[in-house]
Amino acid sequence: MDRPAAIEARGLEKVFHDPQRGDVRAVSGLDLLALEGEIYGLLGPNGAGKTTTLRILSTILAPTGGTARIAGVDVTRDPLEVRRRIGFLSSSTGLYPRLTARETLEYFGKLHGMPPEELRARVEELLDTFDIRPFEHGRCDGLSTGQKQRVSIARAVLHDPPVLILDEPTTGLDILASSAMIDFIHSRREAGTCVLFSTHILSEAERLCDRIGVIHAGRMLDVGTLDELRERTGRRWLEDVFKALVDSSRETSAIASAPGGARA
Amino acid sequence: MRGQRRAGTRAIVGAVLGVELRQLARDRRALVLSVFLPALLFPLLMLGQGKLEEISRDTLAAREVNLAVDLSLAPPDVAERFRSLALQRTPIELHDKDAGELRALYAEVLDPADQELEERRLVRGLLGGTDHLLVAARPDLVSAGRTRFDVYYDVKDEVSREGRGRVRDALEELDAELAEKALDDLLGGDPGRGLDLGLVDLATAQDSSGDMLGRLLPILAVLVLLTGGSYAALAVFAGEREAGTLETLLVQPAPASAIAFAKFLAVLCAGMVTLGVNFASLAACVQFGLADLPGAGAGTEGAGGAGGAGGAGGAGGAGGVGIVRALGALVYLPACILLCALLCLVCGRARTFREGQMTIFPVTLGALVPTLVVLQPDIETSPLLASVPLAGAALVLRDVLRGEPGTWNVLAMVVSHSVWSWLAIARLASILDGERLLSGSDTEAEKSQRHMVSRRTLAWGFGLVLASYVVGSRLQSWNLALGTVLTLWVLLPAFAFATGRSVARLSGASWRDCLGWRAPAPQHLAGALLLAPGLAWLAQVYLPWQERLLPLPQGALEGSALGGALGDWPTWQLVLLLAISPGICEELVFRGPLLRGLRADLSVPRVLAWQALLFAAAHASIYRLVPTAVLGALFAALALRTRSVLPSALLHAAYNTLLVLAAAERLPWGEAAWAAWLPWLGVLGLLALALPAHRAPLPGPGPDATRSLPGT
Repeated sequence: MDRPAAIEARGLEKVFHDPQRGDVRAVSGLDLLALEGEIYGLLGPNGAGKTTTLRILSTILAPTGGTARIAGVDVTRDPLEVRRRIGFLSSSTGLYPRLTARETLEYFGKLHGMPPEELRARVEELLDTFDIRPFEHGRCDGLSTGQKQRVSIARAVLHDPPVLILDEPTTGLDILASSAMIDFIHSRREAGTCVLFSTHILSEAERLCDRIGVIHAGRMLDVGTLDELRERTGRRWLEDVFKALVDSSRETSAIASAPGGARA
Repeated sequence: MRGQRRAGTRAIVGAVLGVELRQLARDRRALVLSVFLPALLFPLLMLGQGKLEEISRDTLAAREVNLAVDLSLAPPDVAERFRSLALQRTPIELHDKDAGELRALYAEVLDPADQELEERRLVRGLLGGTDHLLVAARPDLVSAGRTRFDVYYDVKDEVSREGRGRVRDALEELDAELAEKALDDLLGGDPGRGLDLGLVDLATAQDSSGDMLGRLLPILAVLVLLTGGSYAALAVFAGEREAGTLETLLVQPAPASAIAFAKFLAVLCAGMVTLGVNFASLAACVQFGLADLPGAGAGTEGAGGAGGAGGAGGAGGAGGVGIVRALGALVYLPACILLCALLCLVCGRARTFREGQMTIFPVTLGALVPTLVVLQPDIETSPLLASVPLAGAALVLRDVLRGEPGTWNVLAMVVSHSVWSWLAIARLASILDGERLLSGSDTEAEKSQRHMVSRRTLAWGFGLVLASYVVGSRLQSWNLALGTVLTLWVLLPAFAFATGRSVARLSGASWRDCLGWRAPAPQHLAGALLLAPGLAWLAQVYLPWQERLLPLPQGALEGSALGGALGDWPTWQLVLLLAISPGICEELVFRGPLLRGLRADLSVPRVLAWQALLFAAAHASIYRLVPTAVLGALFAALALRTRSVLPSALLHAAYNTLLVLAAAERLPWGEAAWAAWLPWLGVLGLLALALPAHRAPLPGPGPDATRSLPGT
């Protein structure tokens, strides 16, 4: 734990205000700490608040409460600086269909304000690293899913960010592309990059994560290594660990909301 | 530091603009809509029309006409000459027919109607067979010594129509020959002409062309700009959302405002290219003689311009307005910018391409209607009028092309449209607001629930319209005053409470929220009050226009409340019945539960459209359709802005009061000097409404009712 914090969130809250539906609390008092070179998995079912948390950390959404810092920079005070320090990959590949792979990389390099010479050299390097060169002039709408995935990853690491935020990175991928993505996440650990990724696939979390944060109904139920979670819940399989944490959370809520129960 | 930041922002704008333009250039649909269609539109239209006419003419000219003639009552030399001239109009088959019964009919003196019927019956009998038309000659009863030729044809028969043309040509030639001969023989001149007529147009050829183009170009510019710009706007905003690239774009270290501005520039480029190509195409058509526009060809100076200025220059040259006026047409540029910014604002809010396409028609209508003001012949441009979005720009463009640009008008238009454009562009960043873009997802169950609320509200709305027709009108025809009171104070509140109960039950909202009973911000209340005189002034300007287009039928005024049964009521009672009561009761139902229920599921433009339709329909008058529809949308917009029904009730009551006072001749609108200041009060009101207000949060679902969004 002597490594510096790459992502640090305290008491993070997000309430969506909808004139028709009233307030919708998507994230509630969430704490999160991910260190440099650490792979941190955010595990939770659909609707748990994973995507909202990642969107807050990547500055797309502003938190309604709490604080979050990425590589020492506050997400609400200096969102542009935060964006310079993160690489973000959404659940969709998010590529422009009418740009070629090379043009895509050049475009995002320009948005990051990279000097032309540096950008050119970096693009050449990434074309080789991710084996994009054979289809570098092919328009993205004509690429296979695996090829698109490689371009997306190259786009996310183009500016060599210290933090990578990946939102369900293997969703919709076939076995080969999914495996390539897992290998890529592994490789980031060696490069000293902090990777925060969300998933609802338990095997992925088991295989990849240094630490796992279990999130449900917008709240962080527990955080720890897989062994720590097993120890605390007394269950062997991550699926059972997850169920035990959710059940425990429901019981606590029921007691708190009962007459004479715990009051905030 | 600031300079560096600016350079960085410029670089980002350049990068985004470059990519957007590159993508548009690679998009076949964009190319077809923005370049090929506008370029080919006029040539295809003109060539197609010309070719069709030519084919039709050639086909008919080749058809043989069977012409039956009975010239027994014509002088032999005249008959012979006609035969000879008719036979020159080949292919024609001419043969004599004995129309004895017709000749006998000519001699009879019958009632004209009977004579015509009999004549048709006889000729149909004579023409039965292969003859296409019949020419019968007889002495002219009016001018002695002259011969009258009756040409019988059937307009439904194309060959008969063609034959009519040929016979008429032959007869006109014969007529000219006979007249010339008679004049030479008798007088040596035409006795029918006592004077010579000379028409001298003081307008130059440039003025004539400018007048025509001034009425055509603004409308054309709006339509063409919207055609090219709308696809681009949909592609760069809704297309980006659909492709899933927007989220990726928003996490780049680039300000959303810079990205939005670059996208707007791409839309503007696409729109201007479309406009330029279209006008160049029009100019080329005129230049090569394909199009025949009035005033075209009178002067060719400045013809053949190219590009954005060339678009105007080309058209200007084509119409012969001269290079100076053609360049002067560039004053319309702020309006083009405003139009593209509005397009971005509207299309950019669409979640999908398809949803965006639904907004194009209302935007086109919204832009076209104010532009049509150029077709009104007696509208004098003033600085105030020149400041009206799009309408002012269209009028100034018209004046510039006519060669009558008023300096203050041009200045007011350019400044005001630049301000409108700036305001619209400044709002563009909100399109790319992550909060708005990404927080709207909800479950299918919630979606269908909200959908049901809107559908049920619409059903209540139509029920109200029906009840107004059936019950309200019956009550008012029984007793106007009492019927109006019962309609306003019983029928409408009953619907308000019934609809409010339904909306509250379905949406889970409180009664107070459903009825819109919330205290508005003081500045909004003041703004609504200030808006009333401006609105009433607009009504005074608009109603005479409508009267010209759609005159009230005779007796309608006497049948109205003020002109009829209530004409002798004291003014305060009229104000109470016709202004205050509708202000309270109509707003209670329309801007209360009906608005709230519609807003549960529909977007703001759709809510405004439904409000306009229901409010106009409930008033059940074709003559008040447009004003009530506009007022319905306006009051709804006000209620949405202020989140309360009170400002719209205040504005409604104040506006109606001013109209009642004006109708009762208590307000000298026309002659009073202060009347000129009323529109400016409206502007002040708009500014007050634009001021932000502290908004208390709506009651949430409660601490233990925490709900989560899917995909979060």
